[in-house]
Amino acid sequence: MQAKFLLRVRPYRKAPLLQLGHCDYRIYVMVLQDVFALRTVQNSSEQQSPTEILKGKTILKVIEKNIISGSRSQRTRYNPATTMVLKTELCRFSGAKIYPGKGIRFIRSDSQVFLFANSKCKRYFHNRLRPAKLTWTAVYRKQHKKDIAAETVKKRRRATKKPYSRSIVGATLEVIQKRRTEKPEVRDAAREAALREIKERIKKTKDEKKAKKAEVMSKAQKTGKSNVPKGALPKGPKLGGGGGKR
Amino acid sequence: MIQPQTHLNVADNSGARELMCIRIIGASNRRYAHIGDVIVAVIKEAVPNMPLEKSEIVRAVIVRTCKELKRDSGMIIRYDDNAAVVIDQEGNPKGTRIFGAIPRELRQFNFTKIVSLAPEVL
Repeated sequence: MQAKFLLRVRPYRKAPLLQLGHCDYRIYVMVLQDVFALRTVQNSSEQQSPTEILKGKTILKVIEKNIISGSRSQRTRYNPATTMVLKTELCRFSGAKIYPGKGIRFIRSDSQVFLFANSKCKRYFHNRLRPAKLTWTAVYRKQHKKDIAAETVKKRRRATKKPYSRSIVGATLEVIQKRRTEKPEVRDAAREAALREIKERIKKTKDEKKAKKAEVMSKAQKTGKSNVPKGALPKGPKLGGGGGKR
Repeated sequence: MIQPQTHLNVADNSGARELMCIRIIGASNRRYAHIGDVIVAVIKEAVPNMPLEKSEIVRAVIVRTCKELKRDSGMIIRYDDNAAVVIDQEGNPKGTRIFGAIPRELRQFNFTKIVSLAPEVL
């Protein structure tokens, strides 16, 4: 059985308050990253105090919509409106990160939601100032291409691909490596040799055909009548020619 | 922060268009009403040929306020207008459709029907 937890955040405090279902320990978890993912902690029957569990870097999971299996008093206190969203959002106006418990959410009459990091952004929005005209906003910085050099360098780094060094079904690793390290001269020489071979083959078949034709013609002249039907003659060279060409 | 004389939009299709708050239900000298509070209101503007008429006194529950709603998680929500849904004595809405976004808090106050009809619950 695993314990499930309700995470309640007290506003104006940076560390969220953690209430465990089975015991009454209160642990203060420091906000270390932007998105803190939590995984379920083992049942307290393991006889580990919650502080020890957290020290071992186990992370806790908040299951938002499930009913908390804990003591009955905790269960009745579960309130969907108090479960925390553990993700930082971005301010619609300035592009700043909004940590949980901060910021203002404005829902317009057309049901569009606007998130503001603070009342400054909210005020500017309502006064219809354009973020693209204010130097400190993310929109402005993007438009005027500030700090893009670092980003492009990063992107270039990602683009370099390593040569794929794994054996495939058709060719083992050694074969691939051998092929890769082959010098172009060697490759050209091999290609030329192959071509030469093919040419010789073609020549050979052509010679054979010629010889055959000459024989047949001579035989036909001797007999006076062409026993071999005319269809045979053209068939022969064509077949041979087709094979040679291939 | 709705108080008597406040005009509210109506967020459903019950027939009323605009309500004016007369009284806040709950305590004898209650000053302001927030989201989830029931008020007594008079219909100031109504859609013609509907069961509800102008200058009729009804009860309504407030669903949207320009004054911010603060949640325990620290989230602050502000709407663009003040709106209410006309209800009967039991708390069931008189209309069949709800317009606009509704906050989740209404579910706690047992206005589950309104929440289920809402196009968007934020």
